[in-house]
Amino acid sequence: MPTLSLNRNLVSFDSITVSADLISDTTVFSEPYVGSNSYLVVGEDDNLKAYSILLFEDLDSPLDTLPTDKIISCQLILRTVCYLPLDTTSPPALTMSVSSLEMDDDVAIDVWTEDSTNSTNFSLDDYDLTELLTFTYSDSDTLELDVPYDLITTWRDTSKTNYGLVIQAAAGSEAGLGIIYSGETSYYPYLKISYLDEDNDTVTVAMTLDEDVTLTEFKKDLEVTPQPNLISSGKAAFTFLKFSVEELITDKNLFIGGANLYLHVDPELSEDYDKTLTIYVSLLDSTDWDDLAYSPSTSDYVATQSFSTDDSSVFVLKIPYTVQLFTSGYNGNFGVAMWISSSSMYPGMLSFCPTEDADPSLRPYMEILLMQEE
Amino acid sequence: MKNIYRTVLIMAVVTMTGRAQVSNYANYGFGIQSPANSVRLIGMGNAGIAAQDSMSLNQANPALWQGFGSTSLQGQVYSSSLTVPELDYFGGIANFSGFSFKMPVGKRAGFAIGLAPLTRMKSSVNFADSLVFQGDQIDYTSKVELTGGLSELYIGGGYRVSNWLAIGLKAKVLFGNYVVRNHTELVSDDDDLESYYKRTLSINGNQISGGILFTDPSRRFNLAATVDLGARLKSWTTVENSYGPDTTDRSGDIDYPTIITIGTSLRVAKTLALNADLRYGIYSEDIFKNFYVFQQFTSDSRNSLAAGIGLEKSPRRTLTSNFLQNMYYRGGFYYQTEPVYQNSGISEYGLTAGISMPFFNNLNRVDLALTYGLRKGFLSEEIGYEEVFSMHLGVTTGEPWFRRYKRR
Repeated sequence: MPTLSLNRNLVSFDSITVSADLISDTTVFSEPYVGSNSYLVVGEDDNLKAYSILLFEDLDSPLDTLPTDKIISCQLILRTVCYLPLDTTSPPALTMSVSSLEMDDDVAIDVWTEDSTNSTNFSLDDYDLTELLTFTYSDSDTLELDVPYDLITTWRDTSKTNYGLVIQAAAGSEAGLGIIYSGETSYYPYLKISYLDEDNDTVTVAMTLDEDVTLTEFKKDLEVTPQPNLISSGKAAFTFLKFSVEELITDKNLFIGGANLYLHVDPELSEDYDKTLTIYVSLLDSTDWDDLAYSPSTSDYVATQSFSTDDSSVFVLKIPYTVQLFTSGYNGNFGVAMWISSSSMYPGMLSFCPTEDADPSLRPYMEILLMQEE
Repeated sequence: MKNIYRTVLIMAVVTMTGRAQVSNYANYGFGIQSPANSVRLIGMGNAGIAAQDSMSLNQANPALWQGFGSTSLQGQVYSSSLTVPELDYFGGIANFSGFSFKMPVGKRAGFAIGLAPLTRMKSSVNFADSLVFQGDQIDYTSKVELTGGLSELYIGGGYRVSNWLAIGLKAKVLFGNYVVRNHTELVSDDDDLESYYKRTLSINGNQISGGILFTDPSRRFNLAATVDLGARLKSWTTVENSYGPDTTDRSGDIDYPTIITIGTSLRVAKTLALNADLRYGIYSEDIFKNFYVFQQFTSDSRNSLAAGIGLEKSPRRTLTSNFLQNMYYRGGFYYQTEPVYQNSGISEYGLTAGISMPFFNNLNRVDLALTYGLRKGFLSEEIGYEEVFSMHLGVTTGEPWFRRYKRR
């Protein structure tokens, strides 16, 4: 095959830097909770305090009328996942308590749901808590916790509303978090009740969950000046970023061969529990940036990338296609949202230095590789 | 305030290969000349603007478009092979090379219309390269394809003013597209990206050609000349990218050259004629600085020159002639240069041979021509010379329509 003599390369490359002054950033705080999630989190550490509430189905016949002496056993079945941080050699001694949430009907509160409950509008102090049991957490286990029969009697009492159970760190527990499979999985929590029927035969039934949700309260002061860019799993914080790339790239036909966004980790506020987090990038529309009513969805993102603070102190987000959408005018440049899926089991917090960080070398910037054919 | 920091891109050419089906020189200028001549003339060293032909249309000179013996339709195809010995390359193409229709208009005039390709550009280049961007190696491969060329749609007529003078006029619409496609794939550890680019250069314009033919009263020789007047063609460039809108990013004018050709046809024996042409193309110096499809030239273009000489043995027609005795035999030699110039020009010379086989009362004819040429130019240091072997086939089918026959 002949080799043609070409006096130039048929594609040319160039690169530009989008510096911090061409990047806008903001952090959107949302009510912290973990709902519609595969996992429940219980415990307390330096990063946060988390507890989980569980709402069961109504008692069906014959449990709604069954005499207490007919009940043989009542157990709360929990399937556990792991400790956080994940340290199999010396896990913390986590003790947890299970209490019932009760309230006289004359002080009625709406029954909570996963959608209505978050750590700012839900408080355990609003309820009468009756501690039913305490237990020691162990990972990758099936915990069969004996629940006093009184629970069934209480739930039969129509003068009181059934607000479910709460699992929280018990007094004296070591610092740490324990992860439990939620009702969204096939390893859902349930109440296993055995009783004698009219023929004195033993019958065992399972009461499953209607709702379950983890409420998280971050302990650190997240709102500082300048505001760090925060990303947290669950509905806690998103980061919005807007790159004024159109000011640098005016030719809509230029091909974006690479676009690396560099974000420096702020170690003070970051806690990823030694795990790799998957960060999603979604395009924002004109209203998201202004009213900050953004709600992420795993069905609507343009890029994902994994990151662990153990691997690097700089998160390099590679988003050439996203930048191409902006520079070619296929999407209005209303910026992107960076978030962690609420289905993540880890209630971590990633913090990145903002564009107004006192140290210019820590501010975000983006390197773009441009390609032009012919 | 904008801050633009340029970073160093480390680039290393890995491979760069190309495929040229017509010629490695076809990427330059308007492309390599396409054999738009009649097959009969191709067999005579591309000479014959003074060679009359009552059966098949001599496309080169409109002054010959009179005295037709028939109304006819003719079509031409050719097959060409390219050999580059130094590169151990062999490739070939087959192409349509035009059609025409002619008819007599009374005793002294004639009319013709036809379509013919003028230039051809067809090649592709593949290359692979890599660069380092922010510590990541990006490998990319590009495939660039070029296709296109210029064609002409012509209409015209000839008129015999007297026994020794004929004139003709041809009006031409020149048109064509040149298309450059580039498909690039970028592969890195994190992303696979594809880019697509297409540039179409469209050309349109008109040209007038005139011809004249002097016939020796003794009919021993003809002298002829043609002039294709220079024309200003319009061009539009349209670009399509993977992203971004389709854009017509520029339009412009192309000064198409003036071509002057002189020729003679000399009867050296009763059935043997010598034909010789000399053609000179006058190009503006910066034509290929302004007009380029693939590579812009920095050097001035040169006027082109072509010379051809050929012998034709026509049949001695008798009632007892057999098939072979009714055939035409011809051969010739040609030399030509191209207007593109880059340190040196492009030149080609070669031998030709041809036959014609009339059939069905001399109203129909099959023409065959073979050419063998050697081409060299500014790429010779890298690719050596090119061998071009072509076979041309023309078929003319006619009927004695529109002729007035005298009653004796």
